[in-house]
Amino acid sequence: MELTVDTLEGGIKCVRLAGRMDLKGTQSIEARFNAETGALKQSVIVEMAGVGFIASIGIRLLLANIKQLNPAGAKIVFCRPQKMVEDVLRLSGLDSVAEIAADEAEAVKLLKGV
Amino acid sequence: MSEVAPSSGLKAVSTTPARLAGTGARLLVVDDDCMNSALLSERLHLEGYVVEVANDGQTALDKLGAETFELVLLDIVMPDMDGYDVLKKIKADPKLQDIPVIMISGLDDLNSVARCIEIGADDYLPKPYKPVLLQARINACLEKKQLREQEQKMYRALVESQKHLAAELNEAAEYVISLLPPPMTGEVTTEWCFIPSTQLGGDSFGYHWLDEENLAIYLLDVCGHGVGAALLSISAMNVLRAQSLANTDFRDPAQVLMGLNEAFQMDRQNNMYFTIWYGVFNKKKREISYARGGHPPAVLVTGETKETSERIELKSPGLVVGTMAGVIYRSKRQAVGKYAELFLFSDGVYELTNSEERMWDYQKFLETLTAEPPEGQKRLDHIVASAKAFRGSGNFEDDYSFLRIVL
Repeated sequence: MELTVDTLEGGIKCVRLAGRMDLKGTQSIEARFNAETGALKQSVIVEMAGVGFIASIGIRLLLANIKQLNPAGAKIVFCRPQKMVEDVLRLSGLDSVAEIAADEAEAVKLLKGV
Repeated sequence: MSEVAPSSGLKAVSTTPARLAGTGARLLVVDDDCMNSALLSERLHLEGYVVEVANDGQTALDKLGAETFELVLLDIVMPDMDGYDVLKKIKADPKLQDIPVIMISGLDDLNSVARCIEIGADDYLPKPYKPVLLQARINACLEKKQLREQEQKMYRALVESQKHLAAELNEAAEYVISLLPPPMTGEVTTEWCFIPSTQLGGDSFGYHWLDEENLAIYLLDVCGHGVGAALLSISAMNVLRAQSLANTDFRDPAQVLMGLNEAFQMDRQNNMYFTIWYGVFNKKKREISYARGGHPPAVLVTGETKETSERIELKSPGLVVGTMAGVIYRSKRQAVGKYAELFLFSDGVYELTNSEERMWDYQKFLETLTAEPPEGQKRLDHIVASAKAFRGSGNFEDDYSFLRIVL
């Protein structure tokens, strides 16, 4: 999997993921994803347009970081997930502890709580 | 036919550290020249080896058959049975073929040496012997043999340990299967299919009457598969079977999920979580109440008759179990018609990839639930066959668990 980090307008951090978030893919980005999201205790957009598949191990990684951020008053907003990935995020109930945005503009709004 | 170097070289050889490796080893010297074999024997004896001598090929083979040797020094040129023939017979005999053989040959006889190496000799020793060379080659062969024996011993130990582990895993897999419920017949009938992707799966399921009216039905799927996932899966299933959550009414699905969520928080479960669908069928009211913890919705096919039945996904919001403390789950209710089939499954039944890396379509999977199976095939068998047909060759990637209940 690929992980890149962007800074959007207003200094908002955006972590972009691409590839298959199966066991192998998730393990390949796990340490960096933790370091760029949960460990920083700052709200972050996770852009997932390039993720074609997510397995339970990928859900676990996302949840572990949401779990670190939420008590610190920070959050993850998932942005542009493909239909199948969005279905799995909602099926797993992640939409009850994080938000899902259709595009970056919406993600920024949700992150700012506008 | 051999020449032996002057014994003055013995002193120099005895000081080399490498000689210690072969001390005490049993060697067989095969040479038709009694004088040469006696001299060589004496030299090796002084070096600490136990030496036997054979003065012809057949005697050598007889001795090899009767006693244990760690190395053979074999002269090529001998009357009757020459060194090639003896070597061929040694290498053709499964009991002898692992004994290293050093050929003894004249310096100008390299073609013969090459032929011997092709047949299976380990090394050669040119005549006249250089004591350092003699010692070095014997030691090298003995060390190689020791290493090979150690390797074989370790390999045998590894095979043995794998056998032991496989037997234990089998036993564990049998235990998991034994926990799965037997098919129910009568007013409610059930059938199921469980195909773990590895020897031990992370899925489990069950159903049991809570009282005269209420049947609990559940299927859970631990993140990942293998031994760790199976252990958590079994723990959670045993809690459900024994109804052993404190202050929990097992007729209330939301209460059950909240109880499980508190009991199985992932930071106390080696970072593992699970998804679950839990429902309770009340046969008097003909109603299912259910709650979902991040699990695929169960599918109810129901109506007044089979012909008028419709397919309903029993969805409800709910986070996977064990990830966040204090999560609130809510139960939902669904009326059940006179005709009713309930399907529970794990995501492994439809998240399939075929050889072209194409994913199975969830809607197509749903259609297989109600599609009429070919004549003579049971509905569940047909569903499994459809999944296998899409997948092509190879096992399922994830645990495959399917439960069909006719209510």
